[in-house]
Amino acid sequence: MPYFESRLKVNSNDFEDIEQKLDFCKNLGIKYLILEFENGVKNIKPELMDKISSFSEFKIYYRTTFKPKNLDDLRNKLKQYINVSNIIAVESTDKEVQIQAARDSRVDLISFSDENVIKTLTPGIISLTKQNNSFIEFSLGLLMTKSKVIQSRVLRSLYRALQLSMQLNANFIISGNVDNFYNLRHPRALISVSHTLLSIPLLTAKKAFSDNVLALINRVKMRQDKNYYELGVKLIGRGDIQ
Amino acid sequence: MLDVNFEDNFGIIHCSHQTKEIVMSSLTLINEISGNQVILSPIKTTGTIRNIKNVKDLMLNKK
Repeated sequence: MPYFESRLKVNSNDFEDIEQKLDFCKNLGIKYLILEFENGVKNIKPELMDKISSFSEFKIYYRTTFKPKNLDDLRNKLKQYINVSNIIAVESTDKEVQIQAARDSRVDLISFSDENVIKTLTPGIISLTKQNNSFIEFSLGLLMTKSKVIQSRVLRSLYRALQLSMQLNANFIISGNVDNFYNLRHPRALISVSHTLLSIPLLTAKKAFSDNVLALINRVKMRQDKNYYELGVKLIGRGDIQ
Repeated sequence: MLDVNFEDNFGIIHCSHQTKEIVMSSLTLINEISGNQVILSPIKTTGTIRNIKNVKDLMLNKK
């Protein structure tokens, strides 16, 4: 079962940093990665992509996370990134932005990775993401803080949000999303944390790190396919098998 | 703790199958020992000590 680290932030201007992070992942045995360029994906040089893809031991995918200030900002950013083949994620504390993002089929992922954003999760957003076959993201990186006060506060918020998501059968994924190398962990270790501290059944936790991430990647591929209309509806040309 | 080797960076922990996830998550949440940043990452789980020793030998030979 491939376990994903679904959010590894890297700096596109610093290849040494990327190399170091990938080496760390190699030592930890992480093979499936979703990279997020901190300074956006638009100005990424093809040479950099080639260099990254030369790390043959990894299966690497890319994502872009928008943090729009308001609805117009979200619309503008989505327009700019219409042809990007990355996973498109939106992270905002603004309820209107969240609702619009959950309705928009171009958005693959609504991220609830920040402490302030987790608290804004509502059943309405979960319902909209289910209708749109998009996903919700939670991150365990926040738990790796040194401050026990913050850790317990985050644990409470994450617990509430995850229990609500499970109750409503939401499509959710869990990522690491750490800033410091030394907070990076193998997804299997994070599954244990999700199971023991957040009371997620082991199989559901494994799904959030594996099957659901694969489904998310599949969704992105479908979005890029011009013959694809909606879930279960695809135009088949003459001679196509599927 | 059955075995620990700081040179090759590994250790073997013995626990019941019911407490495996608890042990793994507690190791995961350790990120500092005496001011030094550390990562304790699970590599392999097996049912018998003999098996894990075989895995250990294989890994050391690979290095």
